[in-house]
Amino acid sequence: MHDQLHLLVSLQDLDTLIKETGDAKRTAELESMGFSVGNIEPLNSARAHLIEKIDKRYLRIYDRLSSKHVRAVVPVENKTCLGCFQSVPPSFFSEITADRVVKVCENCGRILYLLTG
Amino acid sequence: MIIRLSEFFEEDLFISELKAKDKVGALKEMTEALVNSKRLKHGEGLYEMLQQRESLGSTGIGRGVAVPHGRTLAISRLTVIFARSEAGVEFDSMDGKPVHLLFMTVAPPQERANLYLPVLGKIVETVKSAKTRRQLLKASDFDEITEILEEADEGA
Repeated sequence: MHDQLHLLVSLQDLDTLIKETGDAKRTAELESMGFSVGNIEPLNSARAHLIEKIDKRYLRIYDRLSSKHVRAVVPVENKTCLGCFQSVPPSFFSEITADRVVKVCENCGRILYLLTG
Repeated sequence: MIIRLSEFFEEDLFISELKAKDKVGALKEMTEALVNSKRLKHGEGLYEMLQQRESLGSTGIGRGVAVPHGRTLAISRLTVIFARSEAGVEFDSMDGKPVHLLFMTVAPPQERANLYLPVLGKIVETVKSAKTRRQLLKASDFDEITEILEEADEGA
């Protein structure tokens, strides 16, 4: 995987975890199962550390998309963008392996991540 | 929602005896099993996410059980990796004891069936039984594991 894409996927996963940890109902459910869900501060520190490694232009795209959508980075599965559920053109698949650059959905603009299988 | 736990366990995601003796090693070994199974392209991101989850509090819930869990874009559907350790893994558990049964549970954030929390809950509920924990530790192969889980599913 392209390093910047890897970092953007990690950032999206971390933001999902931060959001879920801030959800009191969900946290209470996990705690009722016996899990410990403590202070969110380590996640904020991890995020600050992570974004230092991401190219500013990609970070700007990520932030802009995050303000509009639940997720800025979405998987491509069965040749479909799982953000807008529109087909991804065949060129995407050659470009993503050949150029190894961050690609966005032509329809919704979200950053695309190609899933295995 | 009725969850049949036995349906989420797969033979190629069963590690009969972990080599790892600590949390870091166990998370890496279980993540590697997922990569080797071709369900995940790269393990680093998942491993980092699991570590970040652990930074909120250990998922070692006591009674020799750990349920490391989290959501990642890198996986296409809810997946459980089940591992055992006869010697025990130091997991920073709530009761301070090593863990012998580990159920790594990962799900995509876009999972529409919303099975993630119900499956976590079902795992926790199932391993509350000392008999089931003992059986899972002693099972000689994956078929036996499936039978134990099916029995637990039926008893629910």
